[in-house]
Amino acid sequence: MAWHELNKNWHDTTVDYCDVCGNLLIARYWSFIEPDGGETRRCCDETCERLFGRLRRLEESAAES
Amino acid sequence: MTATSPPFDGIDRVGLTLLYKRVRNICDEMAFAMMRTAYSPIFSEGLDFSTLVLDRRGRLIATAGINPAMLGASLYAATWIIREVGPENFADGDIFVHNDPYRGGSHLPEHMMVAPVYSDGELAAFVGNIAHLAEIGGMAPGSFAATATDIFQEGLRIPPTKLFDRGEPVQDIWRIMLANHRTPNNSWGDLHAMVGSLRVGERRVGGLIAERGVDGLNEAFEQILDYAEAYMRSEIAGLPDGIYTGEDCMEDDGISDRSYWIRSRIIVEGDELIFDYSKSDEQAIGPINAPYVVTLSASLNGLLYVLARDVPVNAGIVRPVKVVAPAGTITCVRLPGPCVGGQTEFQPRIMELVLGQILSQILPERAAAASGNTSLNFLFGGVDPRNGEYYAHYHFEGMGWGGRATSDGNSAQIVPHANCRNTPVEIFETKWPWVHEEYSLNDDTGGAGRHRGGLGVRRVMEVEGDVITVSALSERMKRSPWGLFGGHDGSRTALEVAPEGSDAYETFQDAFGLISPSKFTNIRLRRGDRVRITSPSGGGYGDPLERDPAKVLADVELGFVSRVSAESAYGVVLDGAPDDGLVVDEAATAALRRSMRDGVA
Amino acid sequence: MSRSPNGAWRIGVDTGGTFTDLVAVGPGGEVRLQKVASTPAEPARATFDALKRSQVDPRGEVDSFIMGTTIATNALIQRRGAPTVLITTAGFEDVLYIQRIDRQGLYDLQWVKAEPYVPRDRVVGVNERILADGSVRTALTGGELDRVVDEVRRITAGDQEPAVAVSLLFSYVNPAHEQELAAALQEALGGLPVSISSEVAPIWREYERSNTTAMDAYVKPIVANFAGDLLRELDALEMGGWHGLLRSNGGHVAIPDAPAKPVEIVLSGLAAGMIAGAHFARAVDSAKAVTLDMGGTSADVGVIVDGELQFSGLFEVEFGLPLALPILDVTTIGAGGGSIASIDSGGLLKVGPESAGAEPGPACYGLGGESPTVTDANVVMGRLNPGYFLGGRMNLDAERARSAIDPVADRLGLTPEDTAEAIVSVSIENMDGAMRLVTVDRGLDYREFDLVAYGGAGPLHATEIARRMGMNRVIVPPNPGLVSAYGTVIADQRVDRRITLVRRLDHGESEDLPGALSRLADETVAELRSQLRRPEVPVDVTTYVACRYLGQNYEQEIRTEFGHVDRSFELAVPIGPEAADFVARLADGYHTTHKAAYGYEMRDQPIQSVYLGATALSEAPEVLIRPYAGRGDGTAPVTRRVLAAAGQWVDALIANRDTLEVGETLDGPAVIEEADSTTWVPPGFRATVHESQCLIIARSDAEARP
Ligand SMILES: [Zn+2]
Repeated sequence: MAWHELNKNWHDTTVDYCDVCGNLLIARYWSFIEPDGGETRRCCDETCERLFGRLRRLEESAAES
Repeated sequence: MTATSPPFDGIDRVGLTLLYKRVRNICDEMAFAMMRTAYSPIFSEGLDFSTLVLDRRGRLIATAGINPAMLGASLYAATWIIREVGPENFADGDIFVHNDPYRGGSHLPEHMMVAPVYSDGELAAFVGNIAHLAEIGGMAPGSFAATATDIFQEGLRIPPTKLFDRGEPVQDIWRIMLANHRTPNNSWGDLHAMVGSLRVGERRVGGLIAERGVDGLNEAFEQILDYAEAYMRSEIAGLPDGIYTGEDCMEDDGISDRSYWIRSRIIVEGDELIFDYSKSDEQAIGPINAPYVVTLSASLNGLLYVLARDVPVNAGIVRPVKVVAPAGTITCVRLPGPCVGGQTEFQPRIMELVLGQILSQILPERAAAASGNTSLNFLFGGVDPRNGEYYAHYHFEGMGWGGRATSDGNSAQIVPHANCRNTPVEIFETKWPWVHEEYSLNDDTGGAGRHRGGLGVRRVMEVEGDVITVSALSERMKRSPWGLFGGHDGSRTALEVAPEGSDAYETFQDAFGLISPSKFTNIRLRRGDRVRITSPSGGGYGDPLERDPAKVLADVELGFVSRVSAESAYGVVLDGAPDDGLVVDEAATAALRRSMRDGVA
Repeated sequence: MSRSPNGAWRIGVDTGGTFTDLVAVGPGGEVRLQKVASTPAEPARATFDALKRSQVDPRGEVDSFIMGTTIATNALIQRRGAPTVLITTAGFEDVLYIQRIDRQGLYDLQWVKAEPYVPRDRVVGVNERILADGSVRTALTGGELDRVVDEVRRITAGDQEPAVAVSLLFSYVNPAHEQELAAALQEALGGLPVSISSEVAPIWREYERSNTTAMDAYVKPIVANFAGDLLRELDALEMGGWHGLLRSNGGHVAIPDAPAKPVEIVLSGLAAGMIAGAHFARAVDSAKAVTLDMGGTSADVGVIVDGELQFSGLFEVEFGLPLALPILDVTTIGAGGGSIASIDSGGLLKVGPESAGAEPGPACYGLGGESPTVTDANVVMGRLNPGYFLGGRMNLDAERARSAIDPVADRLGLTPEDTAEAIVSVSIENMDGAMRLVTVDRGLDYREFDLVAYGGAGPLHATEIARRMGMNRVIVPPNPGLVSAYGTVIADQRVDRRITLVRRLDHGESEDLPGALSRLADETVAELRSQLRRPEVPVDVTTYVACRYLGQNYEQEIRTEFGHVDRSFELAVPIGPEAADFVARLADGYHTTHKAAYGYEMRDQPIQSVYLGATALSEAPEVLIRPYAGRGDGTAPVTRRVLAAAGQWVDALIANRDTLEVGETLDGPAVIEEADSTTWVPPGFRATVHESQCLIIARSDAEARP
């Protein structure tokens, strides 16, 4: 639940992706821990964290019905 | 539409309109400069490029309405370069270039350039452009390697790199780039066309800054973004909330015979919308994968075809929209996966999935059946015997579009996610050693429907050089363009070859023992060999038995539909001989249509 | 300006969609003006009606009678042309259907591609083939000629006045097969009009060439009938002098010759206005000017450089139907007095392209129109005088104008007056955009240009446009609403010819370039000489070579001086084609032109010629006009409340243009009224009456110009 710097060496030309939406992470990223003690996720910003929760809830309600 | 009042109050709406038009005009001026000076027909004839104006934070404010395929890259690529480099590291006169599909590019051939605009040393805005270079190295001439299994085979990859340093060319970079392109002189001309276009943009944005000041201009830009966002939200709010799903696939990836599925769901909630592709197949081994921006581009383009057609296209339109395309799926390629075909083949597939299959559930009157839906990339290169010079070309083909609620699909049109023009036969044969035998519409192929699918084209041409190396990257050879609401499917793509002196055409797949009929590289053809390219036709819209018999008759008279198909697909029986004038046999037609309906039921 | 040499009447007619205007200039500069309703069903009738009313004696001394006509334009737009047959190289019969495969709008799924002028069942493929270098790959045999003639005979059997177009691949390099086909058709089916692409438009790009040729054939019978009607009427009136039709290139053609290449008169109606615009620009010594002809539904924008109109190689009748001929470069946009204001779904104000047209027209006409238009906005702002529209022949209803604007004002949360101001501003921005593109596309900086404004609505908006764009002066010609008809009176006689000649300037292959250019110039002069109405007058010829860097796909024309003084272009290769270093100087001219237009040159890159062109010109004699009384009528100056900018009401001086004297100045805010137009001079600007009778409007603080 915090911003982190994405420290990369100048000669490192690889890229990093948002764990939620797939978009590119540049310079910094937002991290959060999945509810119920899941994995740590790296994402674009708080919006993507909320999006993660929203998709998860959709998943669960689909499973129930 | 739930919004009854204007989206926002308290700002100078007239001033905003005027400013936005001026920024659009700047983009148009940049585009003109590029079109008139470029070397590659794909961007001078084909207009395969975009021009951009961005605010000082690198957000897209306006773009010239030329190639929608570049929408995603336009929205993100420059923004990301600026963030990665850091705005403080730019200087007046700098130009950055990059073509990295993992960093906001669409595929390697499309190069983006971006230049900062300063006012008395203060960063005020950016101008940019994106253009498809015809040849950038890699395993196959024309840099469209359909059998590539990683990015390194697709050509030279350039991360954000300074091409001009305070107005001076960075010669080392130019030399590395040109040394890796097969037709460096062509690249030299095209890259200069891009630079010239930026210089035009810098001058004009400079004029805006002089009038409004750096802060004033950027505040107004912010309002333009807010306006586009409000526009999109009000359009989305008009859609019923819900989850809508659809799927389609890529036939194969050029490496193996398996198909790759795209599974899409659109979640509409109030004035926001999510495109979720997370259930799609994993990324392919071959080059049909999409970078994130291509999936985003396709999703937005699909939306813009049915909603908000007039919205100012800028960074504001993505605010109410989220695209979920997890890395490692075919919808978001992970380094070093190949992706040159994602832009041309995967993008139209998703786009029509969105607008034809999914949004048609909500807005049937605005949707259309599938178009041919492939760019039908055909690449070739060799030495021209007429002047001894090496040439390479990236060729694409028009096709039929799908029928729609109001009319038949158009024939011979470029794939819907692009808006490029063909290369005239007379320019084609003047530039490259081929002789055409035919370039015509492909009769009797449009998907039958109340509104018929448009026809594809057929191109037959003979090799005039000693050897020409050809490659292809296409789709729609195994699965037809789909019809909608009872319309029939359209016809498929074909790529065929006949050896010198023979009329026996066979597919490239059979003739050369290829894995994929539509994706191959570096086939060597010799003088006198002929190639036949058949592009797909569009799907039909609505039940063909509901088509006005008079329209079927007109189609038969013009040769678009055969007399046989008039009966078998439309249930229309014609009477008389072609030369004396045909008429519809009303009674026989009614009877035939009745029996066909019963047969179906 | 000098008098017309023989002091005879010069009669010009402009037949538009709504009105037919006639201008007759007589001995001593007497001017007679007539505006009558057009008669689209019988296009010649309104013309002779206007002539009769003008009371010019046709049997008296008439120097010339020249018409600008929209007859070919309308036949193309309304699809009322001849049943046409197209003959193509076999295998390429669908050229008119395939077109260029692009589309007009990015996101319009409902768009329908333009329907060709020749339907598919009237296209005949010929077994023949010429290659890019002009060599024959498949010969055209006698048997094939017979077969094609039979096909054409079969298709046209029973047609009313059919026509044939022939367009074969690479005929612009080698026209032999097209010529053989034309001869065979003539011989077998004499009287059937035949257009061949190597004569109509010998340029590369087969779609553009074929479509142009098809259009030529399509309008041939209609133009032939029209020309026949005119000649019969003129004979009956026993009118003397030269009788001509205005062409799209700004010259004119003798009426009997017009049907030979009718596609050349497609822009006849638009050309007249632009010629007059250029004339008045020269009259006030304006070297660079943009012309703005703004009427009720649309505005036509053109460019003048060094006193000369500019030409374009491509014009589209509608999207996808290009006309590939040298044509006056005019851009038409949907911005006129009748343009309708509305609110888009994002809540922003939008003006045009929808127009209320002439019927029902703006709300203030009181003819049933309810949508707010630009004209209504001008009435609400006090800039248009409701009691003096068309010189008082029509009263405008200011109340209706205001109530039409009210709903838009409510949506915007503005007063009706400020909304009116906003409507005019957006409309001005639309024109501003079009004018920027017209100039920038040609590498021209509009800030160095004057603005010549005419048409009924042009002078009302011009100064605001010029101010916004940072242009120099605004020039308002006399009788702004009749400028087009005046253009036909003063049009030059002119012939343009173009041939494709692709040569690398750095190769020996360019050796034949100067010779080809000389021959082309000679042929062009000879063609003009054969048409001259006064054989003794001098003929100027200008030549040009279109070049590009080898590899580019668009070219720029480099003017090459030839024999006579060329006043039309800044950059010329100052040497004739007979000179030894012609090619080297041409190359240098290209580098320089490219740099000026696009900011860079590539001296290491080879240059290629694409086509050569020649223009032969015989200047029309100057005309003296005295359209205004030019003296005050003794009444006291009047003022009116006018909205100068949002929330800014001012007392504007109201002047009748007829009473203004040469040299007189008026400081804005001022409104200058005359029968066919109204000129708005904003605060901070000053209008001066020039000796040419033009109004020149410039910033009051601007330095006086010579
Ligand atoms: Zn994200």
